[in-house]
Amino acid sequence: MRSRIGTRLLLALLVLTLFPAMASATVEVAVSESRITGTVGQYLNIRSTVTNTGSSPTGKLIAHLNVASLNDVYVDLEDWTAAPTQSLPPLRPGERAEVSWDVQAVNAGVFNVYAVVLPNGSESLSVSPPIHVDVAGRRTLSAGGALPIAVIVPILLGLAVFAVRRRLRNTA
Amino acid sequence: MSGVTLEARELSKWFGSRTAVDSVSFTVHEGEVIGLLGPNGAGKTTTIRMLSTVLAPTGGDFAVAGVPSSRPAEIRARIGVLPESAGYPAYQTGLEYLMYHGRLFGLSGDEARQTAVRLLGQVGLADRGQSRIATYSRGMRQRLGIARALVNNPSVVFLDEPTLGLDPAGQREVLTLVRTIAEARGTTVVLSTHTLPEVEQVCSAVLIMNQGKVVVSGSVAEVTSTEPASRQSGRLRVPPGEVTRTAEAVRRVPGVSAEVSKDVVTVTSADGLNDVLSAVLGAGVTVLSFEVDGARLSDAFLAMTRGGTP
Amino acid sequence: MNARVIAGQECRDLWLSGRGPVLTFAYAVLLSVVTYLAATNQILNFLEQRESVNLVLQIAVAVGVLLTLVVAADAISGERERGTLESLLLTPVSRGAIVLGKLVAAMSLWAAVFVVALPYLWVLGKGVAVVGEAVLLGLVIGTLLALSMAAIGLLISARSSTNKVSLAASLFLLLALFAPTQLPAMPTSSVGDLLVRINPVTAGMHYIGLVLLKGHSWTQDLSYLISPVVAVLATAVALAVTGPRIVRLTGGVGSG
Ligand SMILES: Nc1ncnc2c1ncn2[C@@H]1O[C@H](COP(=O)(O)OP(=O)(O)O)[C@@H](O)[C@H]1O
Ligand SMILES: [Mg+2]
Repeated sequence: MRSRIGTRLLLALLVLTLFPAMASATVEVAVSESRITGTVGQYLNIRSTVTNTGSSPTGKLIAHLNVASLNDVYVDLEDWTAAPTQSLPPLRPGERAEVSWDVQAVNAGVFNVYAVVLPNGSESLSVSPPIHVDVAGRRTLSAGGALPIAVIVPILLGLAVFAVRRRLRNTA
Repeated sequence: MSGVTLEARELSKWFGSRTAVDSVSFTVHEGEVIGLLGPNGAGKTTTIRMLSTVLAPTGGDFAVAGVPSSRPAEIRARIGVLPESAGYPAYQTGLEYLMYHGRLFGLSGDEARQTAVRLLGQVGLADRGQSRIATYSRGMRQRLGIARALVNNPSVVFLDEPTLGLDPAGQREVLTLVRTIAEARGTTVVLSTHTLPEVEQVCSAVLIMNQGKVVVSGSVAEVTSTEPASRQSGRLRVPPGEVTRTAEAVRRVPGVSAEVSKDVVTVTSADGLNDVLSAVLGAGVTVLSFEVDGARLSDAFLAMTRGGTP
Repeated sequence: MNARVIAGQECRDLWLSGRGPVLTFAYAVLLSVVTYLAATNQILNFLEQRESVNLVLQIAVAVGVLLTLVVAADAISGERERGTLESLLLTPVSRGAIVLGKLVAAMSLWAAVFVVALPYLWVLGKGVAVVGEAVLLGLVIGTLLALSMAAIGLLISARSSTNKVSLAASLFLLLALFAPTQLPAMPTSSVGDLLVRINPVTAGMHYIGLVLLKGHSWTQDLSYLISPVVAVLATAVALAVTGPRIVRLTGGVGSG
């Protein structure tokens, strides 16, 4: 595995040094969804596919996730994901790689989430289509909902224990 | 005599460097009730466990009910065992316990119930079958264990110290039960014990073990007449004033020893007591009575297991 | 056939006269407390709904597996200690059938506590479409872990000279396997990720978290299920191979 990456890297370097003018790799970024709805605090899994659509290998790539608010809610990317930036191995022509981010929707609001792939050289950025993320405020659940279950189940099982014990005593 | 149902050849068991059973060989015939006699630690339990296939022998082999030791499951199907100090599931009833074991021996649910009910009756637990075993006395548990040993209608039954820890009444019940089983079913019974009266009461043959070895085996009559058993003893009753004179006269006979207590002189001799009597009469003592002990199994047992672990 | 007779009796012993009902009751009390705390935390905005379902599910699986292991660890050494093993060994039933019957009985406890956990998962997860997923995850991962732990418990029980040794060894093992789940953010480094993956318990728990909490699809991280599946296969093979030899009158090494 590692040696294969190594050879590819070597190959890419060779190509880059020999044909600097021709080494114009084109990378495309696609995302698996276009619309996500969730509630505050929920984790969203953003999956994207990075494809080398050019005719030459790429260098090492960097994929970056960004969140932009569409209704002036303050977004601190660090809160949404601990690792917005991930590195990808170089891609041969036609090759693709999967990148995924675990993102927690920390604010309610409407956002655009998109992935950017930065090549290592001076070529242009590639950007995915935005994912429209609609984060609803929390639906408050009343503790009253959980309480009956939390009381009834142990009571029923306690009765079962009692019944078994009594049966044992009676047949002794 | 009918065929051999049990045969052990050079059977041995070591626990680490300790020898529990040392090259034991013997045969038991169909329908025999054989007493496996020996002091604690003689290797009786270990022998029974090997023969009942729950313990692998270190050496030697055996056959039970015509099945060689290489087919243990088949042997287990044909034997019934009351293990030494067996435990019982306290919360099962006697009936449930017997039915469960009947099922494990391949009986259907109905057959198991019928067998269990019949056996409970045979061991005198008919009215306690529905009670939990926790409420049983030791004697009842022992009888339940014997019933369990019979669920598969075995051709050989091993009973390992069945009377251990029972009061005299309980012991009598169990021994009567053993005799009934042997007589009514014609089952071969191997009864392990360290107390003699049991063997004398119910066994037709005896196998005395000591320190992992078979010391002697044969019918009860044969064993009692073997050489070490021919030692004889007797009690001379004389008038109190003549006790000392009697003891002196007895001690003059070669090979005879005498012990004195009040008006009884106990004499022991290796070769008969005839000389003793003539010597005493020759000394002019008035002999009130002279009792000679029969050649008893206890003498043979004591003589042959002397030096065994207590 | 014989294994079924043994399993039936073992289950009756466990549920009608043994500790099955009491253990299940204690389990329900624990889940009630955790569920209530999770629900109140949810109102206080400390816990998101999926997080509380995930919390309760992980505790339900962990404690359920623990109880299953406790029952399995008692299965052979306990009978030895009570003196009832010899009469079982004296039946023509194969040692394999004895082991299988006891394994089924131990797993019956897992089945029961899993059913008990269902209402708690439902009450916490209703509203977001997460209950079904949580139940399925608990069933799959929990059963995998419970099976391998029950098998390990039986192996330990068969080898132990006393019941105490068997229980202590089993609990120690479980603790060692569960401890890493309490370390924060384990799989961020590649070494940490490897450690999580090779331990079936941490791998299974991590998988539950990924699917339930992080919204990953079931197939996305299947590789985390390698070690739980391998653990089940390995312990099953170990039990099948060594079971007939180690299910015997005396435990410990070197005797009998
Ligand atoms: N599981 C065991 N481990 C080690 N030694 C044993 C074991 N079982 C029996 N022994 C030893 O083997 C010898 C014979 O024991 P046993 O067969 O129980 O005698 P018996 O039943 O005649 O009293 C004893 O010295 C005993 O200490
Ligand atoms: Mg003994």
